[in-house]
Amino acid sequence: MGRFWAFLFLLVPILGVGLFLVAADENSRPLLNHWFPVDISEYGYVIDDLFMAILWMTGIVFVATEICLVWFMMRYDRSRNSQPVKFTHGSHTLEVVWTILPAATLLFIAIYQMNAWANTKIRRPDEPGLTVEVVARQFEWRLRYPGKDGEFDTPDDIYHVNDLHVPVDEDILVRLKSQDVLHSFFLPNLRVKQDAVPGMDIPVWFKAKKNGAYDLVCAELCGWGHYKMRGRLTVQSRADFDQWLDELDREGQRRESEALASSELE
Amino acid sequence: MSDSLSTRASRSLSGTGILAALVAVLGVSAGCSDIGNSSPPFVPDLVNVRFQERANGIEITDEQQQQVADILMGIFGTPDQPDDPFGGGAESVLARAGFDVDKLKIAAGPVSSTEEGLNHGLYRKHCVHCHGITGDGAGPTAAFLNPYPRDYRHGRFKFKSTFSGAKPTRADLKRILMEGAPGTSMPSFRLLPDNEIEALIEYVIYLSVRGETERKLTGLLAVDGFLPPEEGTIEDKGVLVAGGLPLAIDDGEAEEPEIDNIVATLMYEWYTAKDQVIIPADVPPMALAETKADYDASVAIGRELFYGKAANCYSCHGDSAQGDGQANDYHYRFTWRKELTGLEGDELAEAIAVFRESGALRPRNAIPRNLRHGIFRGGRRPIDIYYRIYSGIYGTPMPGLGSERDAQAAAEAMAENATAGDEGDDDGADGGVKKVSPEDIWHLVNYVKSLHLEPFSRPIEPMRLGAAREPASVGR
Repeated sequence: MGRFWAFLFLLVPILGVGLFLVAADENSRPLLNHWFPVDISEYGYVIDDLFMAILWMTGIVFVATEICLVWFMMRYDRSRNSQPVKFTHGSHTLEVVWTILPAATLLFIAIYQMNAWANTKIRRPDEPGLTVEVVARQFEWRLRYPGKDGEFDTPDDIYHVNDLHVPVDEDILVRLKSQDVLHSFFLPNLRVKQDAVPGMDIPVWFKAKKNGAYDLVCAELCGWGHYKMRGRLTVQSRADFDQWLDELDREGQRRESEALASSELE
Repeated sequence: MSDSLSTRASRSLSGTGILAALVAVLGVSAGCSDIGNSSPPFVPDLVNVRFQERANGIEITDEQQQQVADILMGIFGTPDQPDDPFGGGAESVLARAGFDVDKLKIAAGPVSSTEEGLNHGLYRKHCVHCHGITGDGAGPTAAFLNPYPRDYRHGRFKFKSTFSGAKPTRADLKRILMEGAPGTSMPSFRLLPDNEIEALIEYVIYLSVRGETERKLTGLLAVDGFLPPEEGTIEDKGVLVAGGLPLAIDDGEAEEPEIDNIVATLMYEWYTAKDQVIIPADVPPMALAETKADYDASVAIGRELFYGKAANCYSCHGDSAQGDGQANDYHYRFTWRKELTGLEGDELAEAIAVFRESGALRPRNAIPRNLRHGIFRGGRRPIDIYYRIYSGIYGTPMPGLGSERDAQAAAEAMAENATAGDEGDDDGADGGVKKVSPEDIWHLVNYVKSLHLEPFSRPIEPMRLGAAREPASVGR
């Protein structure tokens, strides 16, 4: 019976490592696109590198531990060992080794990650190309652009919902707020994820390097409608963005009845 | 003690035990998939039945209610099958009444999607948990929301571009779906594809017409004690309703509205909503606020109007515009609120209990909007706020300040709406007196839109020790 369990447990590291290998292959059929989404940000690679470094470290330890486990299970299977169990206690060298090794590893990670942390949380862009307010609420993203004067809380603020547009290759500063509960502002393609906390005005920044439409999702279970809290990030050229914002502004200032413009009256 | 327990537990988790448990779990989860197959029925409007009974002092029997249900089934089908529920194959009643049946079919039924990525059951996917399978605004999550979700069955919609009393246009419904209603629990569905939005609009109109038909039929029952025409069996009447439906439009001459006219009349209201759109007055140059001086002057005029006797905004929205004026009106969403007016104490509790037992949500007071949040439920474009001020908010105590035409149109719409026993809520129309000129409404719009920018409206920043803070100046 011991062998059965040993082989069963052996499946864990084999399947685990196999899963990562298949997922990492861009063309693997069953897990297509289940690795990281395309990174379009300036600093996203720092996060990805950090992830990979930690994945390698924990992966190696994981495989080694599993091999030990399986080996011990087979080597000391009860059906093939008639000797009674022997317990040992106290090996100073061993204890020092298994204390210092993890401590050193943790210290290394703590120092190695500082740059990634600083990029996402501390080095706020001095002169962002665009500041936009994102207010999360159950269950949508309310957006506010500062308008022509570049300042919020003036009559020319431009309002929108769920459909975030930003210019490409510019520092974007998001002022993240929440109207009700905890939400999380998650841009998978920009490696940006930040909780929105009621009562707080949290700065988030990123620089997108590639045009296109990307996901904006809520990554904190915020209620029964969490699943429908989906937005869209559109990265476009500055000219396109300005044009889009102008149209949004014009619509926001509308004083004519829509019936005059549309075919409703026909 | 606990030792022996855990040993026993661990023993029972032997290899075969774990496998058996796994098999059991898998088996159970596979069995769960059957639950979704039972299709929910439309729920009868019992609250309205109770209301009509109390208002008219008669009893509506179970047979009569069944009669109404049968007629509705004949016309509107089931939540799974809005069209042709009996599979007759002939051109359906709904199609002849003007519904786009293909759109209805996309929105109705259980949630599913085809291999090409076309989604079905949109209403149940996106709307049902708040608005309910019948469109009664009493889905499972409704009781937790404030304000309550819209009850389509009354046929009254708040945020629209038409005169008070008129139905909203399709564009109005689309706008609410696209923008959501900030300040309420209605989120934006902006990212849904256009065909899905259109299907949902069609289905909302379908639920609204169905619900209003039911209400009117119940109203007729309550007053007359029977459904016209008098002769014939239930089946005959069903056929008659179905057959004569889209041909007859209530010409206003008949003493009593005929059943077969009801749906056609309602559809007529929906189709002519686009002719009821308010065309705003020209904006006075100053209200365009192209310069700072113009803007300030326009806001100042708006402020005068706000606190003036003619517009009388402050009496509800409060001296500070925080919505702290009157607060005692029951929410006008409930037809039965009139039953509650003037009642107090035990009497009030008893009356509420009667309606609560038949499925009504707890009544809430209609609280005027706090205008200092800068959150406008029906949209924040100047034109949206113009509509709100001009024609009021239908079905709420918010009156319209618009022209005589508006008041007149509202009164006509009310008269048209009101079948026996269902007195329309004409609280919005105030007797055809032109109170505030449309030009002045534009100044009010500017003032209302400026309120949330005043220092008094800003949230108080947490004070740090030693920091100096200017006391905020109050608007008035």
